[in-house]
Amino acid sequence: MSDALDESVGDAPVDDQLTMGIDPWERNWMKLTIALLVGFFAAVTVAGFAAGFQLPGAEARVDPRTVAIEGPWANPGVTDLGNGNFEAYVLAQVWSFSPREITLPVGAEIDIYITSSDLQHGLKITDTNVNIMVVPGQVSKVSYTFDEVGEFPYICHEYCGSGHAAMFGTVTVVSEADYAALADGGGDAETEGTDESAAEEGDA
Amino acid sequence: MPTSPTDDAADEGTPPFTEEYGVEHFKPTGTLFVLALFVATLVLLWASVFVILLSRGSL
Amino acid sequence: MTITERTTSTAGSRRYELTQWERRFIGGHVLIAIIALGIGSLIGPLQALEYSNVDLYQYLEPILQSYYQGLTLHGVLNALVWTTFFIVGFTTFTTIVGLRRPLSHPKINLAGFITMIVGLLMAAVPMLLDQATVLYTFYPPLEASWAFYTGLTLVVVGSWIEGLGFYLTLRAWRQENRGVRSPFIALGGVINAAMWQIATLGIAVEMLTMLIPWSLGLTDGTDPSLARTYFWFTGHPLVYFWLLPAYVSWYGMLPKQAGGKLFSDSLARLAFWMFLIVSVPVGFHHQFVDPGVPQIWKWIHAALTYSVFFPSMITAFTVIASLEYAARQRGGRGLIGWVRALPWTDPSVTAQLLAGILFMFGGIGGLTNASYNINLVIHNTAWVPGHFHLTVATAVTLSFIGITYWMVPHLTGRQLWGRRIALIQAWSWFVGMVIFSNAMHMLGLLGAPRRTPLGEAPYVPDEWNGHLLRVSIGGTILLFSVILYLVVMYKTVRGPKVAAEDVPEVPIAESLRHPQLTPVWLDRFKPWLIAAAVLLVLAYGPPLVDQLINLDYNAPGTDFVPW
Repeated sequence: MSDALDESVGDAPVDDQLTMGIDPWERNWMKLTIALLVGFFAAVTVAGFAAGFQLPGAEARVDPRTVAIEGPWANPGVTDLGNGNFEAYVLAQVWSFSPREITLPVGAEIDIYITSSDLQHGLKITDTNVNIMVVPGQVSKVSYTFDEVGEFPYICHEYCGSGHAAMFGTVTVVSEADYAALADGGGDAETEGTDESAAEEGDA
Repeated sequence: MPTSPTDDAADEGTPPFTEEYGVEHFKPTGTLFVLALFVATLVLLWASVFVILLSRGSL
Repeated sequence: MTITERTTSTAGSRRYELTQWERRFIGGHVLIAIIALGIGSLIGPLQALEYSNVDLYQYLEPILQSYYQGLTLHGVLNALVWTTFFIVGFTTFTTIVGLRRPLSHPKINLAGFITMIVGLLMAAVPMLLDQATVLYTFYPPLEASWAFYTGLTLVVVGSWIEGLGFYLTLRAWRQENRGVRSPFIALGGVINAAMWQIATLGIAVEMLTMLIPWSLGLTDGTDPSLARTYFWFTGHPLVYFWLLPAYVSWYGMLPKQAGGKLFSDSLARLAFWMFLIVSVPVGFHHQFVDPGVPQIWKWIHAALTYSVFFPSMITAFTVIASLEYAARQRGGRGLIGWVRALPWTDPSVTAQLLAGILFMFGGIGGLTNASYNINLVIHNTAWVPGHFHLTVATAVTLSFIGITYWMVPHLTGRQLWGRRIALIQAWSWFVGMVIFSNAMHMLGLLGAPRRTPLGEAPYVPDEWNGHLLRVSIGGTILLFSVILYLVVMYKTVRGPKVAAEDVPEVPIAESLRHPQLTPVWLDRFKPWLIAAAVLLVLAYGPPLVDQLINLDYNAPGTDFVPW
């Protein structure tokens, strides 16, 4: 088809003498554009491949028909690996995340493995760089270090039916002392009063 | 009065395929000004989102 | 006949008069497009008001069952139907008027149009019956009715058939005009049609090998990850399919309307050829946080996406310079004051100028989205619809609206009704969109998800409330603007026919430098089509092969209808 189109153009005379006639200022603009694009792209490449601000990649495949019944997502939850390292297996289903709550000590580094047993979902932890698609058949892996105390909702951001707007969980990051108190099964970590006693326990 | 390709001057034997044929010279200073504002805005907005990325901590 | 004589005879005053069939044929496309825009845009404000917990859906049962059904209609009608039908109609127009000859095979174009209409009706039924509440991306394993998928497929196939009619017409013109540069407004449309042909291969394969068999019960499940790759293969060049006809007007018509000329014919053509080669091999930038795609391929597509920003930057300079030239011809002076000398009293010009202004912000946002890991900040947040309401909903839609302000009168032999109202329409769209879009961008940075009725979401913190309110205000202003547009169009076509000399002419811009001086490689399809194919194979070949080798239709979705 394209040959037929081009044949019909025929020969333009004095072909070799034709230039584009680009205005010199427009030529400068084109160079500036390229410089800007190269600069920006270099910055994000360095940030991505050398400074740890990396996108998720291809992790593993699973069978969505059995993933909620057998394997690590059959018992979703957080595992404390020690030394501030954590691992979470999160299952997304209409319309909830399991677990719905994750509590971590400040400074925790966590690897989150998430998949779906039904539809596509998304997961984004507010105020962090955790932002990932959750696709049945695929494992999404994302890692993050929670450097600040606070509450960080994780929200489903991909339409998954009528309950989509209610699909969320919360990461609660507490001080190490409070976390230790919780881990020991002792009292409310939220009240101020426990800080002292928890610190004493930690020293002991 | 700007010339145009259909002007009589062209038909009077000025060879058509030269750099000068029917070319009007116009320096787009206003365009450069608008685009300077545009580039400044682009850099500022792009950089502020980049800074947000960096401030939210590495993975 | 010398080249000079031939080219001077093709320039200037000799105009093509559309036949009655051609007017009706093109008008049919535009009518369907405007109806789609009308319905789709009347639903939008329901969503915007929901953000402030104003629930109008309760009064609309049984027409609309949910926010999500409305959102599906809004997206499909505005982003797929309004756009495709208008673009195919407008391209028919620019092919005929640009080449100053009728379609070479009008029955082919008619067959394509009928196919599009059949497809539209087929897809509309399940959408209206709440059997296709899957949004315009229809990500499996959300499962819609087979009629939805088949209908959309037919709309695309119909557009291919009409595209074939455009190629054949251009080919005929070239045989009749050897050695003459193809008229820009016609060439741009055919390049867009070629790009669309390539782009739609993705969803065609998704429909034919996955969604249609699945929805007919021939397979048990889907491969959602592969489906995303197929969809976004088409989904990104889709936006250039939308944009390029607006660019045809900005380069090839608007300078004339403004009283000037196209600053550079060569660069206008170069921009279009560049879109042909780089619009498609970039789809992974919509999949930056997908689990099934390796980072290196995401990075490669990010680099290619950066390169497709380049022809838009060329467009910025060339179009603004063309407008400046026009303004100075009209007496405009100063470094920025010249802008006021443009014909702001012409609603077609005003709409397109305002569209261009907001497009600058849309483009900045788009570059940000494409910037590899910066995407982590905003993916699937409200920022994304904030972005695309500046681009498809303003740069493209407001430009198309501006085009209809002369084209509909031209096609119907009437005058535009309510010039001042049309101006208010354009300005209110601009104001409404600034408020709406800015609020959505801010919500996105704060972490608000897209595609979500935030009015009922339990996790909304107080700091979102001001922005949610502004979304509702912006949406209300846009509702007002849409109603004005529909009124202007209705009153225009119902108005009296006027004398031929009072009907708006088709504005076709001359360029500062005669197109015959543009090098011939900017008028040949073959090298660009080859480059497009090569880039496509390099950018999609390996990752697609990898996904196909691991193909597994093991995701059946839910065993109940989730909406």
